[in-house]
Amino acid sequence: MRIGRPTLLLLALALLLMLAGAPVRAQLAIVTSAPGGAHAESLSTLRAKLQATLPGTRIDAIDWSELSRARLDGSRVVVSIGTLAARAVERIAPTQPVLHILLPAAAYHNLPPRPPGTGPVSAIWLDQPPQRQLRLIRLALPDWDRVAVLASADGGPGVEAIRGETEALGLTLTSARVGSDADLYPALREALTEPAVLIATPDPLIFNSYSVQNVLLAAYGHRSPVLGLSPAYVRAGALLGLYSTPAQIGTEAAGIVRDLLLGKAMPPPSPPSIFAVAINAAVARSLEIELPPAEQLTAALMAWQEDDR
Amino acid sequence: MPIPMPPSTVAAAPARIGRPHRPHRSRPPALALVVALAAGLLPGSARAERDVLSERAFLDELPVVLSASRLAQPVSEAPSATTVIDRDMIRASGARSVDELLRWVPGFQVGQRSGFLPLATYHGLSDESPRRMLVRIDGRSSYTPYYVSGTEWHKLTVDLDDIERIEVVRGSNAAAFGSQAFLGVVNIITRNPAQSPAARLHLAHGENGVRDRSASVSRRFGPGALRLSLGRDGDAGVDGLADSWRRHRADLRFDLQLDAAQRIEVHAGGTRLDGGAGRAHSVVNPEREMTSDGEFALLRWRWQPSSDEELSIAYAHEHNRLEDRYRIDALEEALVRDFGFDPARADAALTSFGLGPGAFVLVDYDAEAVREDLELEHTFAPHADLRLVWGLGARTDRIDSSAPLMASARERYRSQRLFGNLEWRASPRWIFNIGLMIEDGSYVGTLASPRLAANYRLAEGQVMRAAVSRTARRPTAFERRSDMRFHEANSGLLLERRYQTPARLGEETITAYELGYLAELPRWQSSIDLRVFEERAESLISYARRAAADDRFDGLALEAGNNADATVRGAEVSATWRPALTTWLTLNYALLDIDGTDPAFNASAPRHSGSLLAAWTPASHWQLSLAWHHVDEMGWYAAPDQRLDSYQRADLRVARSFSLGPGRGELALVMQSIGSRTEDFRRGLGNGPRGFLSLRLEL
Repeated sequence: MRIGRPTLLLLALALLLMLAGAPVRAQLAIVTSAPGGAHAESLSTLRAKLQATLPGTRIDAIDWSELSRARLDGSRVVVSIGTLAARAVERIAPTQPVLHILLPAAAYHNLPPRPPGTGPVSAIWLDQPPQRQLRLIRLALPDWDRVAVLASADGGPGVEAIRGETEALGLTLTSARVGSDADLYPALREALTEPAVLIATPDPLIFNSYSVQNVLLAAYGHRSPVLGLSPAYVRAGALLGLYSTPAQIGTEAAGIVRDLLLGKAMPPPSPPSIFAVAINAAVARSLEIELPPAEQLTAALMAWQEDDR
Repeated sequence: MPIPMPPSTVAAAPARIGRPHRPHRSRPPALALVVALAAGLLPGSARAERDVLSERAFLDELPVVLSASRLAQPVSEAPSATTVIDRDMIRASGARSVDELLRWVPGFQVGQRSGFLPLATYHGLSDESPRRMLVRIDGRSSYTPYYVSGTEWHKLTVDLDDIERIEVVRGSNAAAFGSQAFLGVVNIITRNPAQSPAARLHLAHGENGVRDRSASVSRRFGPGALRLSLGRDGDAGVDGLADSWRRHRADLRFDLQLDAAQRIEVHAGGTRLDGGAGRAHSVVNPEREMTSDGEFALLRWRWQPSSDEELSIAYAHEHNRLEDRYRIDALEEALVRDFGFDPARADAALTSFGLGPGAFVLVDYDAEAVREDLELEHTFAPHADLRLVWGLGARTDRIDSSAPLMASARERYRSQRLFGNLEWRASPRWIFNIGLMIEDGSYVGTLASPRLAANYRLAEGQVMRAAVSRTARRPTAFERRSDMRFHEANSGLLLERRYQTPARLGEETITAYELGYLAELPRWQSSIDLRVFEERAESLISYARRAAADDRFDGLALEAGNNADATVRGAEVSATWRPALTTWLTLNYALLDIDGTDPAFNASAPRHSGSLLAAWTPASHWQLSLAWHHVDEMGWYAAPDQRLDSYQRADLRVARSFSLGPGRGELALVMQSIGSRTEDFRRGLGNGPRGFLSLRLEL
């Protein structure tokens, strides 16, 4: 095959640019649900990590309320941060690969089905896998073999998933149903008849900023530790917390985006694989529970996760 | 002369002479204010965010719930011996009031002076108006400053069902709570209103006129929670006294979470008690009706950035009143019956005073006390192994009496305090506590009460504790300033001087040494708490009869003085086996030996005392509980002939819980003093056997 001189020149130029470490001229659109707070933290980490691994990547940050199909033109990958942004993106149903982050698993599963011809979609949701939660309980509280969960009348997210994992770890699960606010305290009493580790679930009917007071006080009154799903829980009085910070999720998203930009396939939706453990030492002291340091628990969980792969 | 007796803390009045003058009658509209606040100013009832699809559950800030003040210190880490009475124990005991619960705390003495005047003290050293122990409810002192002072148990507005737990500190704890915690502290912690049932109804009905009714409602208003409990209690009092009583009470608590770190708490309440006082056949202390009432309001702001740090500022206003006025017409009879004159001498005495047949005396015990208290407390951890609690406070008591009971009809008592306790976890085995309270105020100068404690973990679940403390107690207003005189009403002639003001009165002190051993044996579901102690009390304040030149009856008046020293030595043991929350067996025993310069103090506590509280759930929904006590001979009074014989008391409670629609209930039969009546205050006065039924419904 004969190559014309101009083509040869262009190829040489491309080779030169690649050798000089020139950026892949990729485009990333990030749609956010809120301008500040956790959403901004995920955004800035994602941006920084991506700039570090793929310097020069052009990133366009768009507020969900200003999103239009035109704004996504030219982007090779779309990332949404938060549920509002995920819904806005799905309304447009872009043809590009879409990664949703910083949303609960339930919100992801509730997104409208994608029409044919649209790009691949995936997510890193906020929920920790039940197996990881139960494994943490085993590691931190080896003497405790009871776990308790509260469920909304409609089942609520996460309860069945936890139930499915308890037996393998030698744990017994008790659960109680909460139909309304008024049921909360009786349900807690029922679930904690015997002291148990209460696992907080992302069910806003049961665990919201008003009812958390009831939950934590009642559990404490029953000398039952709580496993919370955010650092705020630990600060509020949960003995343990297992969560992924917005920055950790941003970091993980940056890895996926880089792979997508480099042509790799979209991974399936999953819980975050980077996470942190926190403990409330004052609560541990009061409940007379001795806990290993949080760093040691995080490392042990990480090691277990690596082995499991 | 009968037994030297200070006027009742809540005295009495049948021959009531019109409505007594009540100075400063304006009631603080605390209750009304709080209800209005709750109803009007709250943010609209915020519904829980029901959108399961929002990430807020993972990302929202949450208020600090288990704050430093809410987290109970494990008993094994406390610098003093502590007994915790929890809700299950309160329920199973069948107790109708807080004071009864102290029977199950080793080293305590509990008696019933009249139906509504229970007495409780720790390690004796008390007359019939114990004033060397502090009772606190949610951090508010319930110490009443008027008359002989101490705790007026009937003024506690709290409903037993609203109590989360009672922490009884056995031993001096002035370093943390001030000099009124001379012998011990009873800390009552109520439930957060958010935890209370939406509605509760309780009825108790039984022998000896037991008629208790109470109702409670609680509501959540978004970030706020409110609980209001109302009650009316009463019974026919003690056999042998005309002391039937009825009490109305209201208690309110409102918590408002301002943001993740700030919280406002409002506590308010009021009581009114109408009861019978006096003795049959007494002229100077006749049977009569008296009234005691009061209100309080407390506002507390808390800043709780984490479970380790908390800053709180609390302001409390309290208003207590006593109405007890009566008239003595038969002066001659009074001299004969109450002062031991023979009739001829009595007649001659009155004639020599120039008193004819129309002479009479107005006895006026009416009094009112207004307390204001401001306290700041800060808890934080300057280092991972250190925890510092410090604070300062100021208190004013204004005591007004319509007839002079004290050297001044309007007495002011002020005190300021600065306190701190540093807890140092020197190693996983050692915890050291260093505490100091400095108090300044009326009557005596600056007093310091230090405490040093070390807890050493011998092995898993086993702790040794050694502590030394010194506590100085300031005289109360009545001790320092009492001056009670009775005049003939027409002539104004001073007849009797019952109390006179001492020329000087200093503080009393107690130096306590203790060694404790605690074991938690989870394998046996048991715990053991053992303690040996020596408490050296010096310059104890007591009332003694001194010459009173102007007393025309016997030439004597009671006068407070630093009259006695006493050393209390002994041991306490408490063992609990608790295989389940509702099934347990607790045994308590105390050996007390008081050796001092005053025989009355030496006899003020039983040498041996023991108690048992057991509960058992034989079948689902059923609970059986049994309580038993043994108390060796002791005396609340100075006179040896007033000492009590040793006694035993057994109580039984059978309860059946049930579901009722959306709510639940419990029906219980309580039998007290089974087999024989209990005389726990004075020979010839006692209670029981008696039984009552209790019905509790909760929604």
